[in-house]
Amino acid sequence: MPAVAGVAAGWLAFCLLVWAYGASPRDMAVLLAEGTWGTTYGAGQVLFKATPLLFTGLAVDLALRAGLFNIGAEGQLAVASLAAGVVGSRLPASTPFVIALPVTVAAAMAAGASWAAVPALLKGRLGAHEVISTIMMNRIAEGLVGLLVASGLGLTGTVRTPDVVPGARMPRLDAVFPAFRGSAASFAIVLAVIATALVMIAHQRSRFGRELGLIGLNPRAMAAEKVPVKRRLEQALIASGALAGAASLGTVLGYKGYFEEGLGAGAGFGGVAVALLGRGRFWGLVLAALLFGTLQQGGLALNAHVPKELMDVLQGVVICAVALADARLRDVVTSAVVRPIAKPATGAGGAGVT
Amino acid sequence: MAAANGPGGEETQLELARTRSVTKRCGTTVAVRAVSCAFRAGEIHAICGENGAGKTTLLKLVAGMSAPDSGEVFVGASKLDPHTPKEAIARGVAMVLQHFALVPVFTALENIILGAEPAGPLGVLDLEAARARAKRIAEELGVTIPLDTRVEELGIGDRQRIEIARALFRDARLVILDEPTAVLTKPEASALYTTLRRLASDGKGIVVVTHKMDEVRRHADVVSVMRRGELVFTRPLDRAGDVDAQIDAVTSAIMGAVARRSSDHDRPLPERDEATGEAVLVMKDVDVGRGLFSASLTLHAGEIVGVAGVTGNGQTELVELLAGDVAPSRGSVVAGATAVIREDRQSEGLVLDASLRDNLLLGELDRFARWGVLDMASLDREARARVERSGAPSDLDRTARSLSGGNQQKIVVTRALARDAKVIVAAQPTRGVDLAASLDIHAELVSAARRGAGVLVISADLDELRKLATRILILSRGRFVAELPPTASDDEIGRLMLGVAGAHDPQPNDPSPGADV
Repeated sequence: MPAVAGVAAGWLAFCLLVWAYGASPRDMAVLLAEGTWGTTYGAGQVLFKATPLLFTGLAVDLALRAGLFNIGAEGQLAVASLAAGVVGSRLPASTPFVIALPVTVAAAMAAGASWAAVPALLKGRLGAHEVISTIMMNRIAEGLVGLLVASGLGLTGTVRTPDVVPGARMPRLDAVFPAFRGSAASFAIVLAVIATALVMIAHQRSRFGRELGLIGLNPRAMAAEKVPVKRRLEQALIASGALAGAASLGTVLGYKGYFEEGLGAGAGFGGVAVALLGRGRFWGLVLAALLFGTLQQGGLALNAHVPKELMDVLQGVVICAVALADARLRDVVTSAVVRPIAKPATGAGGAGVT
Repeated sequence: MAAANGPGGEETQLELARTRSVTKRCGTTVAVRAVSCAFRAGEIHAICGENGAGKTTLLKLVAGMSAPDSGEVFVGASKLDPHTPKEAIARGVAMVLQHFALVPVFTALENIILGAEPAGPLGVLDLEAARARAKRIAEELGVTIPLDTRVEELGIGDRQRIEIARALFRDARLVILDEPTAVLTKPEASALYTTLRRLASDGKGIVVVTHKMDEVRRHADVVSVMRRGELVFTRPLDRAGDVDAQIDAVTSAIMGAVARRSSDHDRPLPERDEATGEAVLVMKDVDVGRGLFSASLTLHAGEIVGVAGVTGNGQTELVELLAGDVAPSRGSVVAGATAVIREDRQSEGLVLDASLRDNLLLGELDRFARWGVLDMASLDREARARVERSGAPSDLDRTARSLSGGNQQKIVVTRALARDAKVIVAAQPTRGVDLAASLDIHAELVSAARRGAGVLVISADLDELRKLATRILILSRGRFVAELPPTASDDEIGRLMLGVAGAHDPQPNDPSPGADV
């Protein structure tokens, strides 16, 4: 139901904006459809855009289940992408696919996880609010990645790393399905869908996943039953960071073949949108990633007539509409924003009010 | 309000609100079915019934908090329209909910005036006028309210008085209280009824939801019984006549077919044979923070020991200590495997929005996990076995929120007892639970003791302690001040609970004036 409201509101906003811009909503909609799902190239591009979004969406969703709002997927992905570029390019050139790719992905996920570990530990040990610390870590990541690329990890005089070894590249979809020729879609989308399915199953069938969900609903009751709530929250945020890092499969390894500054930027914030729209369900996440992938690609298709930023506005409208249409989501968002302000004195120190 | 009506207007003037054949559905169930009921000025009207009988729903209709599917609510002479709490309050109907709706970081005064702030010129808040008015209300109530203390630092009794003052601040003429005494001790409850009686004599109408028959017996003028959404009867209580018979009629109307389930569980445990039963819990000279001091306690296998006391006198610390949440700051605790039934089932005992399956096994997923992967078949089997033992509805996919308070508590109790613990700590095990479920829960605790567990029941309900325990410890200001047999009188226990030294020596700052000391 909220999804329907979101899409309806998005459509309405699209018509209004396009019309206000002096173009015909109908023509633009046709153009949008043709530029995305109208051709196999367009469809491939949508899949390509959706790949990192699905990974980061899954990452944000995992944290959200535990009641944590991970706004830091952006920074986690940036650090992970750099790690993928560096590790992937330093492997011996002859490393076989079965070793090179897993090693590179593992390095990326580990980097994403360790970036998330900072806010995770701040949360678990000191009670620092994750929204604030993950946002701050985004800024730090941005600066640090730029610094590292400029000072030794990148090729001299550029903002990119060397090419990763051939074995660490994610094969393109067009290598098997020639119809996608020209699009940047890779098999990373398949991995993203599989990862989403596995994580969804784990939420039901694993101790960790089930406990996370219960903690998200009522941490006090779980603590009363001696479940290590703080440690679980730390683990959730770290796992979320690892999943966000996996998004570099679609960008660094599936697309460019190297890391350059700014590659994949925006996918972390896009992941928040995907998670909010996806509502913790497999199809929800997959369809949300495809929807936002479509909007991004569609923006490029319309760019000659209306600015592609119009699609960013649409994305925002969709999220707002979904949030408004769903009470529980509203609670999550409100508490994420209000919690640190209204309840400053829980945890250490407590009652010291003069 | 003081306008004089012509002759004959007296009868209608007395009537403050009335429902006319109201029906309210909640999902597929009918919560309230064709109820017509009147609430009059000058009387205390008790509404009784099992959990889920529709009492709260009915009163929320009267207070404008929800609109009936059919039927009408009249306030005074005219229909409540629009059907909103705002309109109800404007016309003098206020409801104090079971779970208070106060802002913890605001002071008592700020809470009292919230939403009805008296404003001077230019909309400037006139705090002094508000304070004067609040003081006057507190005086009328015969209580003191610490107006400048933040609500989060106040006890439950104070919070309730604030809620009532809040209602009166809005000129309420009909004050509805949903289970006001569920969280209060006996002395606090008596104080509350003293206040309510004052209000009634002043011409206000008071409506009280309660499970406690002795309150009805002592304080109600009119009693209504609800059962499965229907009003069984409304009748005045005639204290000149045979009150016991009238109360019996109320009890059997509440219970309906289940009436007086005779079972051997009502029989108390045999006196503990001093020689038998090893000690399962030994506390020696234990201090916990600033809440519990030199507490010593020995609990034997097979016995039920009661701990009585006013909330905030160390009960919380005692439970947290035995649950292992906090370590003693001094002294030693030796305990066998301990299972705890927490005081607040909604926030600590259950994950309300999770399934019964999850709630029945909360914190026990380790047992079903292999390499972190759950064995769903055996998890399901265990949950099914437990839900059947509990007597709660057996659909494991239902959320705990969808159950009545009694059934929720059955889930909590079943889970705690399923762990075969040596020590069972039950904090307020039947607070806010209906009669039938209370009996079931008591029976469970007794049979746990029969199986060889030591059971510690911490309760503010003296009747419950008397029925279950073989000895009652009194906890006052963080110390165990006495141990009494269950035959001790209310007076004696009450005095000790309040820390009053002599019978004729009530302390000047006694928190509950009007207690039956």
